Formats: sequence, structure tokens, C-alpha cells
Amino acid sequence: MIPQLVRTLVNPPGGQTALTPADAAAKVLGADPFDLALYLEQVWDAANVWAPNGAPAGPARRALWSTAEFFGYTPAVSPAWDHLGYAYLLENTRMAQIMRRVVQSFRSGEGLGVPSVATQRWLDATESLLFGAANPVSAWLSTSSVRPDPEAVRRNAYWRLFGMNLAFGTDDNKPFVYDRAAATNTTFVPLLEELLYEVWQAMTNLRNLSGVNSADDDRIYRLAEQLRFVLRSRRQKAVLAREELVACTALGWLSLSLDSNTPVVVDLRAQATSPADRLRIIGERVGLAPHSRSSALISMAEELSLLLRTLEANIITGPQFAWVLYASTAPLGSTVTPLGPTSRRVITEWSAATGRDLKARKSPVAVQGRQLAGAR
Amino acid sequence: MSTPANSGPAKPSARSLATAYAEIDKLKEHNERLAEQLQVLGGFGTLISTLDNGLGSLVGELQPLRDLARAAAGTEPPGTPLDECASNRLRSIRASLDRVRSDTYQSTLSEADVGFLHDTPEGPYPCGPGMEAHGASSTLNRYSSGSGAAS
Repeated sequence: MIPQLVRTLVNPPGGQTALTPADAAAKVLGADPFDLALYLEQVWDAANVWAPNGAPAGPARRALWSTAEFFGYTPAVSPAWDHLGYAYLLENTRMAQIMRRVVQSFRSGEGLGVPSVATQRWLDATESLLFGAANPVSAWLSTSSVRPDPEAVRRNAYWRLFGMNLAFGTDDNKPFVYDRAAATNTTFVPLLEELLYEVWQAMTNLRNLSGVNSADDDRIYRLAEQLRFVLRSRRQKAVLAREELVACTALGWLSLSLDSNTPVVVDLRAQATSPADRLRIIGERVGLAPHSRSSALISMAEELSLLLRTLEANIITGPQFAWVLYASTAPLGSTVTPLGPTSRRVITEWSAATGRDLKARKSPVAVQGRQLAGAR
Repeated sequence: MSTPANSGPAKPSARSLATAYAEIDKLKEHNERLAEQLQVLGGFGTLISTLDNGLGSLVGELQPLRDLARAAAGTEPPGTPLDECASNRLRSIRASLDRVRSDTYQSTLSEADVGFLHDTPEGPYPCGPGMEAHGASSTLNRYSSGSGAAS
């Protein structure tokens, strides 16, 4: 939601004044947290994930956001937030825990220096968006006394949708305790890696017209279909949509904070040329090292989001449409932009982040633990 | 002394005949050269015709290779275009996730010193005459008005 809000401020609807990207980012980073929370509600309502069973927001909530800063920027296309995979990759860099320490340090003393006014506004919003500070409308409608910790809610969602934990425990390196659902997509990672391998094979054979062609459109289609099945099985009746929105808002907020030399980065004297480097320096300031592959994780977050959304959307409905995942241009008669460059980025960075070379595997990943039952 | 009537012209005729023969010989030679040249040209024509046919068939044989090269250099992959519904869905997903690249801008931080908590929004109070009229004491009084110190 946060990067999409910046984009909307740069390209506003209805003849409103367009901001430069720097001004748009500064406006979001300096926004009143209540305005951001109301915009989150606005985005949630615009997506209308329970349609046709009634819109999520009632008249009171609508009246509230009509008075807010970003009221005129309702997203034209919904859902205007990233896939949960985006939040998972960014959170795996440990940026949420590092920023938690930053907030804690700024709020409890002057060990990190005196925060500028802009950083104090950033602290207000960060406490609200990430750490559950109370607002008239809480960003975390999904947190309550039953599940009070936002990080635990996010970890629960990651576990259910991807069958994966984060690569670390609590910020003092103890196991993180959260509710683990029994129904989880444990086959997600093997399926995704197998798909990426096949997509790479298709990419390398895209212009091969004479030699042995190892591209297999039918396998790509079947793997894409299988991934869609497992992802959508956890999302029936829009379950996990709210958690996804809030997780992506929280991590998108941190990503925007690290995307350039923002006030908080300047106050922390962590100016650098890339988000991963800024995170590393901030980690040094607060004594918590980020993931060693943070650069790869950050670099593919947007692309993985687009790839997973496309897979879930039932666009590849047959082997004849497998080109969507590996081509750079559409075949004659089609005007869509395929996901070739997107998939390529995910393949490269996934290999870098996991250490598993998806471009040169000798044997396919076993996507099912169980063997076929013998005939009796 | 008389001269036959045809004796006069006979001598020129003989000369003319000789000249004519000479002309005929020249013409024959010329004709022969022309014939040789025509033969040569005819040979070239045959050669050209042969080459033309040969190259034509060669070009025909190379056509599949040419097609392969064109296909390899082309940017259109094989595959079936998506139907309208799927195309719209893909466009919608792309549009909903579109964002501004962070490497396209630079953030700046420039803010004025906010001064002390009891200062007015206009800035620090001037020291000296007029300070109380400007509201310094009233600000302090405002903060202390609810406390026991004010009573």
C-alpha cells in the first residue's frame, strides 16, 4: 500500500497536483499516522474483497476517511497492495526487528542522538503501523488481546501461506513463539523452485530453433497450476487478505524509509547508496545484524510480489500460455507485457538468497513427499 | 580516233567493282566479327541464364535457413495470445502493483530549529523590552495555570 500511495501521489487521479517522487515520499513519510491508518481502511474498502457480500467499511469509517489527508487518492485499481511474499522477503532481512530497536532507542534515550522533527513524525507512524500504537482506527484490526503481537500475526500468515518461518527468532535470538496453523503450504518452496527452474530452461531455449530444446510448456503450466491451488487453498473467502494488507503496509513503510537517505537514515548517520547498506549500518548502530543476503531479498521483493499475484490470478490456464512467465514480448496478436524480466530477477536473486542454483540443477526438486500408491 | 561508247565507263566500272569487292570483303570481315561477338554474347547469355537458374534454386534452397534466421532474430515468442479476460487481469495486476522506483529520487532533510518548548511558533523570544508583551509570561502562566503554583 505504501509504495502504491507514493505512486498515486506522483500520478494523481482527477487532475490533482502531481508531486515529484521525492516530495511524494517525503509527504508519506511525514504523514500523520492516523491519516495513514485511514488510507489503509480506504484501500481495504476499495478492494472490496468480500464482494458481493457487502463492503467492509461502515458509514462511520467512511465519513472518517473522507476527512483525511489522502482521501482523494483512492486507488484506481485494486487490490492496491503487494502480495504477502513481498512482506515475507523484506521481513526476512530483519528490518522490522532492527527498526524496533531504533524506535526503542529513540524513545527511551538519546543514545542514537536527538531525532529531527521529521524523524519524530516517522517514529509516531512507525509505532502506529508496525508496533500497534493505539489509533482511533487501528491499522492492526487483526490484533487484539487474543493475538497482541503484530510480528506473531505476520509470522502466522507466512507459515500458513508459504510453509516458511523467518530466518531468525526473537531479536535476542530465542525461538519465536506464535500460533502455528495445522494447514500450511509445505510444498510451496519446492514447487516454486521447480517452476523457476523450468522457466529458466524455457528462457534459455526461447530462441533455440535447431538444437535440443529442453523447454517444457506443459510442465510450466502444471507447476503454475499447482502453485495456484496451494496458494488459493489458504485464501478461500479472502482469508488472510487483511493480514496481507497490513503486513505489506508495515514492511512497505520500512522499505520506503530505507529506499533513500530519508530523515531517519540521516539522523542515524546511515547514508548509503542502497537500502541493504543503509539497513546494515543501522543494524550496526543498534547492535543487530541484518540477514547476510538482505540485498538479494530486497531486490526481488517487488518482482516476487508480481509473480505470485499472476500465478494466483489463474492467467496461465494451459501450456499455450506458459510464455507469460518467460517471454519478454507477447506473441503476435497480444498486447500484454509478459513477466520474463520479472521471473529472471526472481530466479537470480532467489538463487543468491538461498544458495541454491536454479539455473543448473541436475535433478528436479521432489514436489511431493508421497509416492504413488501401488495397484492392488 | 573514235572511242567506243562504253569504253569510257568500263574502266571506272572495273575500279568500282574492285572497290565493291573490297567493300564486300570489309563487310564480310565485319560480319564475321559481329558473328563472333554474337556468339560470345550468346555464350554469356547462356552463362547468365545458367547462373540465374542456379542462383535462383540456391536462393530457394536457402529460404528455410533465411526463415529460421528471421525467426531467431524476431522478438515474438511462439504461443497463443491470452484471451481478453486474462489480458485485462494481467494488466490490472501490473497496474495495481506499479510503483515509483526509489533510485529515481533523492530525499532531503532541511528543517528549521524549533527552539525551546515555550517559544512561540515565530521563533525564540527576543530578550529585553517587550518580551512580556509578546506573551512569554502568558505562555508560562498558561502551562502553570492549572497547578497549585498559580493559586
